[in-house]
Amino acid sequence: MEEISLRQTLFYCFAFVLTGSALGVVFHRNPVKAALFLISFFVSLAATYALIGAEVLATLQVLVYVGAIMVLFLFVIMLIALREENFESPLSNIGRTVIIGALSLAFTIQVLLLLQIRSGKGDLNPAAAPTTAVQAGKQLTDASQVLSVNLFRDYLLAFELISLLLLVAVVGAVMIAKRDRRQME
Amino acid sequence: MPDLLSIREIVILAFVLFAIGVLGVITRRNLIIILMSVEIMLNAANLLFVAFSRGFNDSTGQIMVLFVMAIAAAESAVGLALVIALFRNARSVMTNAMDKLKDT
Repeated sequence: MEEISLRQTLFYCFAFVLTGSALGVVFHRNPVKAALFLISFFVSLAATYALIGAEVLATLQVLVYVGAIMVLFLFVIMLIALREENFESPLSNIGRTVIIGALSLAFTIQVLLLLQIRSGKGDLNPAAAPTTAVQAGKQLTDASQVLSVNLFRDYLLAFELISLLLLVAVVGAVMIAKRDRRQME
Repeated sequence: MPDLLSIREIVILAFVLFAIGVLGVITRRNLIIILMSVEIMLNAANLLFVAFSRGFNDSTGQIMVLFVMAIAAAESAVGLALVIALFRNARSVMTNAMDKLKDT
């Protein structure tokens, strides 16, 4: 019963950071800062996945999105040297301050909760913690085993097709990005 | 083991995130920001997949999330290549710059 309140509190904190980061991506003037907001979005989404119980996907989310896609975005933004556009943000200065304040409040609550867990005084029962940890580890192994068996047996054809699609996308991206330079020469 | 978080809150969160992504696609004119908003929408759909996969205890939803991630990577690579191609032609990444077919 007490674990419910901890997980829900964490979920609300992550949901708040997620919503704030998404609003930051959409409404920030500077594209580089929007990309940094998007990184915060992806990381908190990975935390939400872990909270729901999909730890494999949380790891993959950080690896694929933050490690690959965001590097690609930032590289392109800096390659074409975007300046700040004159985009009238619908958020006033007060609204921005309120959002930043609320986000930092959520972050403080998160840190306090984590410290409470670390010191054993939180909602998690310290006596029950080892058993739940063992249960969680066992469940994680089972979940990833089920996931990999499902992926490599039932969806093997789709998996191979995805690799083909990625190859086509990479070759196509290189061709699209290079074609103009050859015409100019 | 029952999932302690209720599905309803996660569904509401995914709807809100998807709406924010749609808002970005509609209101912004910077192509890179539009691509980022598309990523937000894809991730909102992923969140729904994961939530229902855990709720129904069926790992098919998580497999679908894997495929969506791969397709999102391909989509962003091709999209950013298109943005670079547009920038080489029009010296801008705003959607206003795409008026080459206009009779002037």
